[in-house]
Amino acid sequence: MATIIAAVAIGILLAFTFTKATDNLSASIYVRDALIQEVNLSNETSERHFDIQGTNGTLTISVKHNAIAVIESNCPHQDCVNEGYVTETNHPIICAYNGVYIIVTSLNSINDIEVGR
Amino acid sequence: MKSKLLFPFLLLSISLTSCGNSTYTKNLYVFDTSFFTIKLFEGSSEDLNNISSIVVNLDKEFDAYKHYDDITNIYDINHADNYLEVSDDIISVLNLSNQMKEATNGYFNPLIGNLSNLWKTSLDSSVIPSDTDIQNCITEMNNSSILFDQNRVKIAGDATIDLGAVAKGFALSKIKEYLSNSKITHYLIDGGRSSLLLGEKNSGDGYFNIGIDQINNGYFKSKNCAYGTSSIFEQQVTIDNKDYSHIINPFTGMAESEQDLVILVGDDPAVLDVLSTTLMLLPVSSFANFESTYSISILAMKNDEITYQTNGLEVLHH
Repeated sequence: MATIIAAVAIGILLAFTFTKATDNLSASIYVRDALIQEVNLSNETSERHFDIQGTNGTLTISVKHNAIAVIESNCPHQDCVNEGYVTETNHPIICAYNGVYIIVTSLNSINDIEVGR
Repeated sequence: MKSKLLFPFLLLSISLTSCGNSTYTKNLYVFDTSFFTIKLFEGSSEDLNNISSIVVNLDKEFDAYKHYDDITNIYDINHADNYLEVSDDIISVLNLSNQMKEATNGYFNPLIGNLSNLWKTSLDSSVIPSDTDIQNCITEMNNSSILFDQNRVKIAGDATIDLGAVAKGFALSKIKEYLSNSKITHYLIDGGRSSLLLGEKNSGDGYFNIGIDQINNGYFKSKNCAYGTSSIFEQQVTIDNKDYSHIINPFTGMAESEQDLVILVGDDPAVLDVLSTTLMLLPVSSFANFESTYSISILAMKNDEITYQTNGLEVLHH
């Protein structure tokens, strides 16, 4: 019985340790060459919104626990809005019209980089 | 033709790691929404800036959507009827493109510009291009060629050049050349996740863990090599419950792929960039020939299953 419990505990520990980088996330928001804002997404406890100024207009950003999205933008193609919430690394949000890019990183990732998306 | 706003973002950050080693990092937004991340684990900020200049210059030279006053680029070639004098890099990439067109029996075609733009414009409006428009573009492409006269180039015919399938890989090749000449061996150059150039890490056995996005906890261990990848998952558009990728078959004119994901590992980033796109269009039965001809390793996936895996290319799991 003790062995089973230990095995389960180890399994749970490994699951938390080696899962894909979807937890303990932070987001860096850039406009052109300037880092505008960094958000520790793992510290967010409820959804909140804020605006950032891009090169051609305003974007509304939504953050919640380990997730970030552009929910409003004045760009013509709305690619950034259509991305929805990003909840993992290897998935930047880009608004070319406004010169905005958002990079999500994780302190938990044990990969140096990811390919295949 | 849709105009493109291009923002080369220069972000310089210098971070000091433990043991007194320096890591030099720069992010560049180039090649039509690609993010290049340059990480040097040795060298200097001057090396970082030199490499950045290589990428930014190639971005301008290979730009098919915008003219620049200080250079003659792909946009200029596409809009000229006469020969234009161009840089050695443009000559090199166009020569390579013609060679790869032959090697892939036309599945890679640098004159796919009109067809690519047709699909981009149509999908932006959530419509599928008409068969007539697609066939017109294919006819233009097949009736055109790239002509060279020493360091001058022109297009014979109505097709246009699009280097989307080779630009990032070619840029990595030029970076590799610089790094080799500078004797810098510890680096990671990320050409927007679809193209990678790896030296060695500064720690442990020097191997990098390269995560595979479509395989849960899957990764490769690699160093001193390059990666070229293509997938349907990036830039995919769904219309009427059908998925369309950004990879166009130059024979059918359709934005549909045989594979969902192709990952190549080898030495030449430019060749890998071309072949990763090409193999997306081909059945796995044709892969062995490319494997041996170019000494590359291949991983392909379809419907979440691995459909091809080169012997010796090991997928590890965390």
